[in-house]
Amino acid sequence: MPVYGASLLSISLGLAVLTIFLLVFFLRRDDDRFFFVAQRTSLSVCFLVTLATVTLLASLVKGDFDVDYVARYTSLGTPTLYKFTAIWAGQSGSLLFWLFILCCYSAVVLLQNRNRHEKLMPYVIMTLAVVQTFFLLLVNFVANPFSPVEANFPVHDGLGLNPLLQNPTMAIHPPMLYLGYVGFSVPFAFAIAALFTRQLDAVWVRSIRRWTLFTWLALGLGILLGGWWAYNELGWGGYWAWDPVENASFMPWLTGTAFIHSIIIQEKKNMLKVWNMILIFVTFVLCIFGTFLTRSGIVSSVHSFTASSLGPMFLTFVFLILVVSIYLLLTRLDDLKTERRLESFISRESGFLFNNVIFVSICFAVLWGTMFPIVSEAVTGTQITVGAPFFNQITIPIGLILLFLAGIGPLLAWRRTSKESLIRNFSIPVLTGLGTVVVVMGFGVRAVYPLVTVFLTAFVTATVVLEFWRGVTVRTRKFGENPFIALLKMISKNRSRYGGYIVHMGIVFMFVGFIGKAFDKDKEWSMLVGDEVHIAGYDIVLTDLNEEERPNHFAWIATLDVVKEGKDVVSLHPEKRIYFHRNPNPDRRQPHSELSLYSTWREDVYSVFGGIDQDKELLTIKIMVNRLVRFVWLGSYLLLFGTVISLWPSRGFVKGA
Amino acid sequence: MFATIMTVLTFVVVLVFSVQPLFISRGRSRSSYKVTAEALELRKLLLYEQIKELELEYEMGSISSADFQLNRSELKREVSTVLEKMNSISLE
Amino acid sequence: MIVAVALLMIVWVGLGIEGNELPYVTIRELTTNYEKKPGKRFRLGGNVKEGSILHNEDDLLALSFVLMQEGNQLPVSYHKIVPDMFKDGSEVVVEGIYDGEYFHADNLMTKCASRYEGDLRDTETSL
Repeated sequence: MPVYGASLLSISLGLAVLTIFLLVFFLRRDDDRFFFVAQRTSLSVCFLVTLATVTLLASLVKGDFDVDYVARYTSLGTPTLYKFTAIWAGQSGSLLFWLFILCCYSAVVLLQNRNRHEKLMPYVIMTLAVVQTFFLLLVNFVANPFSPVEANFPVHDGLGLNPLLQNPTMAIHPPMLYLGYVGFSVPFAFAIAALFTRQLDAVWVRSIRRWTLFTWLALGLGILLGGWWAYNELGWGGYWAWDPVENASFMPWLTGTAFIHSIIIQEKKNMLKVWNMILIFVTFVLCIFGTFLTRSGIVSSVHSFTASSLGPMFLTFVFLILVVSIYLLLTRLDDLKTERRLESFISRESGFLFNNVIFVSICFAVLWGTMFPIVSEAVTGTQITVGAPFFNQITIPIGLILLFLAGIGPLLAWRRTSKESLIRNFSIPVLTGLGTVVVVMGFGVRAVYPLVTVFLTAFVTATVVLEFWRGVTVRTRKFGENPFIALLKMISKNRSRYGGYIVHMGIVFMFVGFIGKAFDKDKEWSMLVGDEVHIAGYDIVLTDLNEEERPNHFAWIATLDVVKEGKDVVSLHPEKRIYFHRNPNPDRRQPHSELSLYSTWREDVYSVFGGIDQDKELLTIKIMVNRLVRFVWLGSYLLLFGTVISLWPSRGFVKGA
Repeated sequence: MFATIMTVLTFVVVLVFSVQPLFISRGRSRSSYKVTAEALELRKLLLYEQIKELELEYEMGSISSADFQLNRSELKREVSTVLEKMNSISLE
Repeated sequence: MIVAVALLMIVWVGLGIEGNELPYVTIRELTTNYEKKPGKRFRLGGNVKEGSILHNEDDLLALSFVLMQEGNQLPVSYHKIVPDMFKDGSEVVVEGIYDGEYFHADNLMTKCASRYEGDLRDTETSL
């Protein structure tokens, strides 16, 4: 079976290269048959890669421990679900998985467009084939998931998956991220095609609108799922640490968001054509970069860069992409330039432009901070990191400006906004903002950043509510519909617009959650059963300590009774677990703290069982009171909901992707 | 043994599938006219979309009369340019 | 206009880096150079010396250990919950301030074990 899988990958590589040649012949000789054959070889590549992926999955589930990858990432005791998810647990499997998703996307793009975009499609397929070839080269020669185990003893069982990774969120987070990372290949391919064919108007931009939105959503959800997992599993009480791997996914998301907004401008006003090209190139490169960064340890240790040939190969690929893209861009610069100029700084165009500038700026700041250790080591010899404080300090103010822009966008008119529009549109939101700030100050809040954020979140909320309100009022006035029906119809007829507003509201709620961080409290104690501690108005007593032997681990369970102002709130049960506890080698036993938390809209009470001194029955406990965290998750749901609305196909005439 | 058979089988299937178009030749009209017409049609529809959105915003009271007139006349001008172009290429 | 924004960003980012630098140094570099920048935070990596982990009698949270790196040793004190993988011999990274005698760590991290590149021979005994 694995041998079959490996040969499938070899054939796929051959076919992908063949596809490229066929398309080149087609474009030279103008012989249709080459194009048709190329379409079929491309589809064949997709089919074969899918087959190879299925083969690997079969080996994983069956437990073919002769295959190195299977032995490393599964074991006889691994639950079946995690045998499936093991496909992205390791480097070679996840590269194949990346390739598999790319092939699925390529097949869909090909079939969707088989009767349109005649000029663009050959180049689109060719670009996708080039990316496929790169990954096929990797899985065939550098990281082959079907390689046999290198051992001179029979291997009867595998190493199994890290228990920390065995939870449902971890089953969705990587594939979601990959759906996002890989997905930007499609708009990129269309951009390259547009440059080659000099079809630089709205056609390519409109065709990729839905794709871009979908892939952006996947990437965003992947990032948020990672945050959710970190908060609920890792026990340090946060959801974002500005870790290099986190940043690697955030950067393409930032430029991707900029791109989503700027293509609207290109569609409507035929502006920003050069900018859009640059943005999609950068986003795609960052996606490749992000994939690579996650799979190697390059930022924490430069030495792992040269450990395998993966690093140099990725760099070469990125270099090639940049060379080709920039060459195409420069030779088509005249076709891309537009006569249209920005007429006024107080216009919707400028709002979008500032929005883009800010997203790119944040991306730059994050990139610089992430790469700083490597750069400083290369220049001064000492590796200097800049941690979370740097990122927070830099990005929070810029993020707030972005929030402001999200609010004023709908209030500005195209080309230029007259003073009376400004006054009419801004008064209510500004007043709402100020009013909310006054109320919040009444609760004792004085710190600047939280107050500014409060103002802005109220401001943006008011603008969005106003938009919905006005829209509904128009319909009830014109058509006599009842408000609820009017609301649904209105959204249905303008899915992009209102979906976008809902997404903005999601972001607003996330910022509300971020405000909470300024007011978080945490403390750690050594406790014996019977001890009581106090934090943020809560009285917490350690009432019990139990032990339990479970199928794959041993657990100590602490019972913490949480009381507030005399009333019982909740009983928390943080655990200290030891996985592989019966392993005679103490180094192979893996301790893990399983946290227990209680969540309300106001705050989360978050408890962690740090450690235990068994002889004295002394425990270390950490309690955190995390304010307003729930709003971050609420925001995530709105983000999803809003994007789904924007994506929902309508019976409209302009069918994009 | 199994792997070899399967590989050969797969290869043959894929080969047949891919080579098929060489024998069933189908004419395809790939005139540049179609491409340009497609692009102009899209441009027209995008402009209509924008006009509708503009009218909605005016009804909602989000933009003033002055802003509305300014944008509307420009959009209408662009629509007529596109319609002209569409006419002229279909006459060729 | 873009140039102006770019320059602004460079300045802004530069300012951010200024106050937040955390150099990754060796024990030797630390002990010889720390006086030049009193109160500055440093980051070091190394291994926990076998048998050097000591907990305070009554306060399980207060602990000290000896960090070993390239033959040099550094006494470290830490007053928070330790990560799960922290034990004799584990690879750690500490961040904190050096007072000439002790390194007072405010952050302690163990090597991320999420990528399990283990020894296959272990599978024989894992059950």
